[in-house]
Amino acid sequence: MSSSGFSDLKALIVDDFDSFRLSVMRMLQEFGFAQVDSAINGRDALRKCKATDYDLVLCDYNLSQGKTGQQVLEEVRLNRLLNESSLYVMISAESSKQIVMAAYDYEPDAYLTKPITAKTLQQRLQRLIAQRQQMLPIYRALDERDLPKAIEACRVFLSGNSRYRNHCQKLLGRLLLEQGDYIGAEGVYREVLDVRELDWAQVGMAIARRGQDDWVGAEQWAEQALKASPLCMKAYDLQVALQRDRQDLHAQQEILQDAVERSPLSIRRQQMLGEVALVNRDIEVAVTAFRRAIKLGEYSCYDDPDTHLNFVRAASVAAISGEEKNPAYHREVAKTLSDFENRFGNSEINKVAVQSVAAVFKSALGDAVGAEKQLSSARKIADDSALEMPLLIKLDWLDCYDNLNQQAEYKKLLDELQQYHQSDQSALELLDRMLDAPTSQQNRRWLAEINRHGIGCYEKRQFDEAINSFIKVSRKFPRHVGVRLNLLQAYTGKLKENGAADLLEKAEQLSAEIERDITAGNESFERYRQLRASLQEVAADIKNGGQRG
Amino acid sequence: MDKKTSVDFSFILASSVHDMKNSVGMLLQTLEAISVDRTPGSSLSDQQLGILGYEASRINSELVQLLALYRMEQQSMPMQIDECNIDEILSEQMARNELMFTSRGITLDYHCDPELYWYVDAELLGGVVNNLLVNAARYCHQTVRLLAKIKGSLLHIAIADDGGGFPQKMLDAPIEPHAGVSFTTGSTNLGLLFATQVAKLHVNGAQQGRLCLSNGGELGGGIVEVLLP
Repeated sequence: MSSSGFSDLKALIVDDFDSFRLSVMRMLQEFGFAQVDSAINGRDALRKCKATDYDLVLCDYNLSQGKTGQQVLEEVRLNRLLNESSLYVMISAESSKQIVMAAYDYEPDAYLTKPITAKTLQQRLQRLIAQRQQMLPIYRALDERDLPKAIEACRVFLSGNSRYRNHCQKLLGRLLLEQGDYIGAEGVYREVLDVRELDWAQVGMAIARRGQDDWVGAEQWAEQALKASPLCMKAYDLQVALQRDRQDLHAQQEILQDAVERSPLSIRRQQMLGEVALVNRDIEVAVTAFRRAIKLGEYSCYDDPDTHLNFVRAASVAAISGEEKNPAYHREVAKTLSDFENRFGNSEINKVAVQSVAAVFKSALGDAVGAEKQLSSARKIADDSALEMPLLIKLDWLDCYDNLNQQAEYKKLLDELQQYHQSDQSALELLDRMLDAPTSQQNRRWLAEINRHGIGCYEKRQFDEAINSFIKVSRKFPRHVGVRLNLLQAYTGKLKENGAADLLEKAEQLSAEIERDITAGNESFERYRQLRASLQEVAADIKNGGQRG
Repeated sequence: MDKKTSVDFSFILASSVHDMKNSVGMLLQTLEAISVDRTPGSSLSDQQLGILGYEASRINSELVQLLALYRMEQQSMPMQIDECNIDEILSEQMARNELMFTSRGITLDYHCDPELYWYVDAELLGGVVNNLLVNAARYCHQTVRLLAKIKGSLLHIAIADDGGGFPQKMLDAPIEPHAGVSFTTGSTNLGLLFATQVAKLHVNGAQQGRLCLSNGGELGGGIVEVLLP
């Protein structure tokens, strides 16, 4: 059944099952492909893609060892190992939908579901290749990275009547967005939406509106897309981006948590969730997200050293609060640390980074000797290299001094950093966590807003919401005395209404922490004394058995 | 009930269905390879191969549908409605079942404009058509007809056969998840339930897709119509 359309094409089939690989290879040879190669895993496939310009890659999603088919695709497209006109077809035994949802940047050109028969494969390939050939001028321009030429070619193509119209509109919209021609892109998407509400065009509209700084419009389009297809992950990604524009970290976290629950296999979303949750000091969420991202990163080109370092940072905070006492968990951190230089290289910066987070973890566990040793080693390498260390690493040093209770060192480094970054708002935002009260504009505004909201709720006797607000703030700025006193007051209010024993325990613990940090000379001391008395009164009532009526 | 100790049986079933489906997929693949390699005088006849292939693809499509219905209920079934060439979707399903039709000597009569485009989820619709074809092949005498066209604001896909038609009870009762299973006749209606659910997921404005069963027509047997807005 040889067919002329394939006679000058080169194909690669990637599958770990010998029988499947051989039977598909034979099919392709019978179709008349000029060259048919095979690979049994992702590494093998990538090596072959580097050596040969394939026109077609047929790759199984589930390769038992190493990368998945999606990870191979990401690396192939990210590193441009294939031409734009080359086809990447994903084969899977399951419905392709779950794979689509994990996709972040790149999607395959087509999906084939096993079992595959010769006839279905031939039909499908003939169609795909016919489409590629018709749209070849566009792909050629993309290979030359000539965006305006590709856009022009799309327009020419769309002026004729073709069965690939829909495909071309999608591509044109994407290219216009890439070029920053948001008005042009909007035109393309509107044309599509006039006929039918399709989620990809709604997401396209949302991106175009965001590009023109119309955040409200963008949000509305994203919501519409999600209403039509609740599992449209691109719409989630856009909502996250919009909350990033608004600098609302808590809203970002909420959307990302929802997104990873629906599509847990995307490393990019897990990384982002971990980072956002770490800044929000929602440590449990951060630890889980980083842990998953590290697992997903094992064979992924998106694996990132910061994810590994941040995992240890989050794990350290969890260790201080005593949430993670499991030895398996300590082994996990130890493994992350010991694998680090193997994975990312032993540059001076990497050495300092990994030793610094190791010191933080040790100090969090109370291993003062080990932590000090590790920290001074890290600081020595940093000094000797004379390289400027990233602020995040210096924050690790601060955390260390703090955990080790070396107040003089802590104060000295903190003053130095504040001085050095005094006109850098984003650096100041990172430093705010270390201070009694935030100094960056962004964080000051945020604190004031949430604090005001909490006080409003307290006055309306909505204690639960008030407690939530104050917890949110005190997590992010754990040294802020005023907010912690507000939290204590809200706890007491709630306890007067309903004296639950576990809440009383939390309140007493908080009271003890404040007492440790506050000195008699502090302007808030008198307020603390009154709150403590009030709490003791409630506690006595509860312990005497009765609740107040 | 304590949530932590209670076992979610539907989840276990779904995982097991998933495994079974993969195995049957391998089985089908091997069968096709055997039938291609066959030399005269080999131990398996065309007819035997046909039966093996038919039964295996029936199990396969049943398992695929079970999984899809499970995901729909869990609301983890993403829809990807887009403008698609209908001829391509239908041709693919015909090619998939070619062995079954030829080995049983069934004529497949096909009518569809190659330039017919409509807004569908190609993968789900392909699954529906595959199943309806397998079903029609089972109940027909010798002819199955597949046709697709636009009528008003709806896409009509009809699968008709020259068999005995649907029993009156099925024509009268709407297809519903709890309509009951007849183990004695071997009809679980799973395929029709799946087709109905997929049709319902196709929505345009106030219009929703549906399934329509009837008997008669030119071939005189059962007719299933899938109507999509």
